Amino acid sequence: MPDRQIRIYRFFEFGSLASLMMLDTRVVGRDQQTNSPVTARDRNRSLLGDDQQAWLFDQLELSQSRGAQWHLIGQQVMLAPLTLGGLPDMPNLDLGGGAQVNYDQWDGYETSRRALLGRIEAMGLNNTVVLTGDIHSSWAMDLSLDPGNAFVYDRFTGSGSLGVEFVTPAVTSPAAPTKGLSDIAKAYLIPANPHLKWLDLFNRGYMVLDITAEHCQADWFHLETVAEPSNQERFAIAWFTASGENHIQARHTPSQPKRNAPPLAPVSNEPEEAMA
Amino acid sequence: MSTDRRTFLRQLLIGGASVSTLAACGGESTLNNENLQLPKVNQPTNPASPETPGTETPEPEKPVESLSFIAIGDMGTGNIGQYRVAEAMRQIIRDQGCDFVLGAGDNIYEDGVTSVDDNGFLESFEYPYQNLDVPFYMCLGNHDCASTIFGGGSDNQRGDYQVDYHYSDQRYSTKWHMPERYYQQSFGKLAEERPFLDLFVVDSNPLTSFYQDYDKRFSWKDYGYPQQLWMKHKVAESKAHWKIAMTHVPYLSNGKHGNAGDLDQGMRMLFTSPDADGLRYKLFLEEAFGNNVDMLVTGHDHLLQWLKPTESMGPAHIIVSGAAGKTDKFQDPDRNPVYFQAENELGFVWVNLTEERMQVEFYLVDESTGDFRLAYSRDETKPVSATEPAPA
Repeated sequence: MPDRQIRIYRFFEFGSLASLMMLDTRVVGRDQQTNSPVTARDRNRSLLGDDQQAWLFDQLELSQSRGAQWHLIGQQVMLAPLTLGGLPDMPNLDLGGGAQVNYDQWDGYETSRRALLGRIEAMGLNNTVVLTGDIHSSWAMDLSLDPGNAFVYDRFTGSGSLGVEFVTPAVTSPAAPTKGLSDIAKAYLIPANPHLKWLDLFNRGYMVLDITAEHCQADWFHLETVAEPSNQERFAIAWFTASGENHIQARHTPSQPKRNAPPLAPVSNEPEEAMA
Repeated sequence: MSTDRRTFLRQLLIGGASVSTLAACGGESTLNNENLQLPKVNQPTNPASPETPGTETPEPEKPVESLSFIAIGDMGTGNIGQYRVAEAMRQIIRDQGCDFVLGAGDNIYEDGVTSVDDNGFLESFEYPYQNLDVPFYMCLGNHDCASTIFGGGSDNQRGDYQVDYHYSDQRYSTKWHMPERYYQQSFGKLAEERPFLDLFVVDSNPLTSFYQDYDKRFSWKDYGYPQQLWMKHKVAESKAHWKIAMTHVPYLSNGKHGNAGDLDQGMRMLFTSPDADGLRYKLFLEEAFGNNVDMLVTGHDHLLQWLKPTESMGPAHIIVSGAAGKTDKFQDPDRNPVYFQAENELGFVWVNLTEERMQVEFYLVDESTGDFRLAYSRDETKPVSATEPAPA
C-alpha cells in the first residue's frame, strides 16, 4: 500500500511570470477508481481530497493576487473530458457530458473537475495552463466546464474556454501499436470532442514549454524510434495560448531557443567530480 | 443577568439607535469602517442617540458580558402563523431578554418586493412584529429574489429594495436592518477594539438559485466570488470574541433542500442553474467560516434543527431555523446527526451568549392556539476556543 501521508503537492513561484502548482492526483486524496458513469458523478467522490483542493484554491488565489502572468498546474491525469461524443452537461440530472471512456482521469471525478473549473470561472482567472502526462500520448485541448454545449463553448473560436491543457507523451512507455490506429482515433475523437484540437497516440517524445509574457507555447518533439539508441527527433507541432485568450491555436514553428540560456550540464564520466 | 444590565443592553442595542450608540461606545461598527452612509434614522435627530444629553446615556466603559438573540427564518407570510410566532417571541423577549433578532431570509413571501414602499414590508414584517421592540438583522432568501411564487431566485435585483428599506426615512419602524446585501455587524464590546460578537450575513441566493439569473451583476464571477473573498477576509480579520454567520440556504439540513453540494436532490432535475446543487456554495461556506465561526444560522428548510458540528466546517454549531412562518416535514431525519430537530411545527430559536458559554433553546408554537413550549434547551461551551487578545 502506498503511504497516503507523504505530501508531494507543492508550489513554485517564477517571479511575476508564472506560478507552478504541482498536484497529487494519484495517492493522497484520491477515492477508489470506478468504471461506472453513475459513480463518476457521485458528489462524495474526490480526486484531490478536501485538504489538497483547499490548498490548490488558496494557491490560485495567491497566484492571482500576486499578479503572476501564468498559472501552471502540473498533474498526472487528463483534466479535459475524453468522450465518444460530446453532449451538453446536465449537472442537475447528474447526466450528460457525453460517453466518457477513461475514468482513471478527471472524468471519473466529475465533482472535483466542476469544483476546479468552476473556481477558475468564478475567479475570472486568466492564463491557466494545465500540464499533464501519464497517458503515453500527445494532446492539446481547451478547458471548458461544458465543452459539448455550444452555448457555453464555441469549438471554432475557442470562446468560452477557461484555460488550456497540454499533455506530454511517454518517453519510452508503450503507446498505440501502429500509426494507423493513432490516425483513426484522431479522425474520430477530434470531431467527437469539441475542445480537443490535436492528438497523437503513436509517437514517443517530449514537450518543451516556452513561457513569455505574451504566450505559453508547447512544442512537441517526437522520436523516430525508442527501440534502439538514436538521436533522431523531429518537431511535430506547436500549440500556444496567447495571454488573456484562454484557448489554444496551432503554430508550425517551434519557439526560438532561449538567447541567454545557461550552458548544459557537462557530460561527465567522472562521478568523483560531481562529489567534489 | 441583573435587570439593570438587561436594561442597559436594551438601551445599547434596541431599535435604530444601535449603530450610532455602539459607535459612540467605541464598539466597532462595520458601517462606520466602510464609510457607508448611515441610515437616516440613526442621525443625531433621533432622541435615543447619545449625542442628545439625557439620563439614559450608558457608561461607555462598561464591557458587555452577555448577549441574547432570537433566530427566525422563512417567516414573511403575513399569515396567522407568523403572528403566533411573533407573540411567542414577545413573551420570551419580555421574560428572558433579547438584544436583537436574526432573520434568516424569505422575509417577504412569495416573491419579495418590487419597490421600497411595497406593502410587503408592512404585511410581512412591520405588522406581524409591531409589538417587538428589538432590531432585526435580515438576510436575503430565494423568495426575496424571485419573480414567481415558486421562489426560483432568478430575479436577484429585487433584493436591492430590501436594502433600500434599511435607508428609507418613510419606513414604518426602525427595526429593519440590512445595510447591504451581504454585511458584517458588530455587537457589544468585550475590550478595547474587541467586539463581543461579529455577525456575518451572506447573500446566498445568487450562489444557489434554482433558475439562472441572466443579470450579469449576480454571476459567480462578478458577485459570488467577490462576496466569498470579502467574507473570508472579514472573518479572518475579525477580533470579535464570538463569531456567528447567517445565510439562507443551509450548509446541512435534514429537510427537502438538504446539504450544500447536493441541494434539492428530489427537485433539482427541474432547475436550470448549474449551481443549484450548491457545490461552489459549500466551498464558499467552508472557506469563509470553517474553523472560524462559533455558529452558523440558516433557514430555507421549514424546520428547526440543531446539527452536530462536522469535520468540514470545524467546531461551529449549525442551526436551521426556518419555521417562523411555514412548516414542512423531514426528507431524511438521519441524513445528518442532530442534537434536536422538529418537523411540521412553527417555532424559533433563542440563544444566550456569555463569554464562555452558549445556551440554545428551541421553542415550538401551536399555529391554531398560539400556545408555545420550550422543546429543547442545551448549554454548550464556546465552540471556537478564544484567541488570546493581542498584548496592549
